Amino acid sequence: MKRIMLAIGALGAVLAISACGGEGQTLELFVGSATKPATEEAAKLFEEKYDVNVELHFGGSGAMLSQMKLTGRGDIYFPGSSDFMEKAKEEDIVLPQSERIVVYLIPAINVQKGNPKNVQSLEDLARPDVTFAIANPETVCVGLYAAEIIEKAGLTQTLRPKIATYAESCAKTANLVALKTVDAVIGWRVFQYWAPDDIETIPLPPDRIPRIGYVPIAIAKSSKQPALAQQFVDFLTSQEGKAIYAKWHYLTTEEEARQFAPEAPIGGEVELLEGWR
Amino acid sequence: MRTRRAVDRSFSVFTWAVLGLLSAYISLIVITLMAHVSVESYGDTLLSGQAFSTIRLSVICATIASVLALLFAVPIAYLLARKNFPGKNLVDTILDIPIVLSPVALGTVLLVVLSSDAGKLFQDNLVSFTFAIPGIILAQFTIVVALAIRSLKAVFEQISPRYEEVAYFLGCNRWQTFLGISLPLARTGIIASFILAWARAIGEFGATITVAGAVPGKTETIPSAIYLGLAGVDIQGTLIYTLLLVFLAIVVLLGVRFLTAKRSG
Repeated sequence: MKRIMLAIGALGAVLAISACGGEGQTLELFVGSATKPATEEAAKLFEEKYDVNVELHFGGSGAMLSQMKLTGRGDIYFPGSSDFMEKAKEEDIVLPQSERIVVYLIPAINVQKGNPKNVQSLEDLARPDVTFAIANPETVCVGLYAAEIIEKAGLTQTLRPKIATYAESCAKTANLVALKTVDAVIGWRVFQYWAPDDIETIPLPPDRIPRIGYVPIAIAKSSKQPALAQQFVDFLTSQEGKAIYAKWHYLTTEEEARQFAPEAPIGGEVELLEGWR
Repeated sequence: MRTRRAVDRSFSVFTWAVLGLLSAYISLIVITLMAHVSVESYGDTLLSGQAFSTIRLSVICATIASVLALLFAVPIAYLLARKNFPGKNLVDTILDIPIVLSPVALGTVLLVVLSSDAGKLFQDNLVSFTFAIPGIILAQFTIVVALAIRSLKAVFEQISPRYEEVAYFLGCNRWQTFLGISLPLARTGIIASFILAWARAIGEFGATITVAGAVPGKTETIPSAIYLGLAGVDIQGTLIYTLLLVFLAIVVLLGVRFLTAKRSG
């Protein structure tokens, strides 16, 4: 019994040591995990530069929003895509006027590394030997954009019945290809750089990209240190912050994004047509 | 006679075949997992300080949660196995609720409780659970304590109360009877129950990530690292942490079995 108590005591001591963080200001961010590597790097740089702690909570963008809502905590919400920011505004969790765009996202076809089924266009997705999926068009913006791409290309009748599944997030859409569950997805161009060993991007021609996506950031209404939160947002959208995201192959300026789709609007309301629900 | 032997042999073949089939199936999963991970990624992940702190946190929290669970479960299971009292069925059912709820649901309920006025008061003045390490232990404890009670109740029910009665009539008090007779008799069952609780706790994900979040280097356990790996389309990282969990479990569970077999043998 004595030995057990000793062991518990030792564990408690180790735990107490590991629980000790630095003192001072802590900025709490709830981040969609898709941008994890770049955001971790940016946060680290910010910590060093301004001598504050940045605590990054990662998870699905929706789960992060739920946690902010349930606990009333968090200084900044940084979801993986714009749809969740719209929800955060609806739910009155972020300050709408504080919203900024950090990076831009271009819709594209993503296939398995090496493109074993030789998919080159949207039409190839209709081939009987090709399986493909999109994200849920009702809840995930890349799914909504995929539905719009298929509609605008006039391929609804041939492609819609062939969709193998609706993924519930951007990352899960990318995983469908990375884990070889399907041959192709309509996702973001940047998926290729998330998993360069598993995913390859087949770009869509500009006239087939009806819309450019983006990753927004905003300050939480519950933030008790909005000035510091604003400082972080400013840092992320500064040249220095954007350079980190550019290193991870994100498009950080509108001009860069425009090269892929000169005419397409950035974000905006898309109405999901009947039959996709 | 010959037919009897043939039937016996077929039974033996059947049980061995089933064992072989399932072991081969699970081994195949682990081998495929190992083959899928590139050598460089092992180095990249395992040599980072991040992996070490994640493993340490997982082991410490699962161990504390399981020990706490047993401290509650042993007396409760003993009481439920030995005594009848009005409302026993109701109490028994209430204790089962954490098993029925899905972990994410349980985590959400815990988060709601902790975010209530009373919960906030408690957290501000005593222990902070939300997005903190004690939150991991609380989530895992809540999940495994019911499992421990369930398995220990069966253990105590199988021990004849006659031994305790004899000890009692020979002059031992209730404490002495419990500590000197009942506990040693239940020893193997208690260890089995600890293994069950620990294994469940170290792999616990849904409730843990909901209550404690997954802040790398702070509240990230192995299962949350697996989830974040998948959410970040980092397949290699996901598989390495999965393998880590497999090996950690093998080492600890085999170790506990070895130690207890040696002692009781």
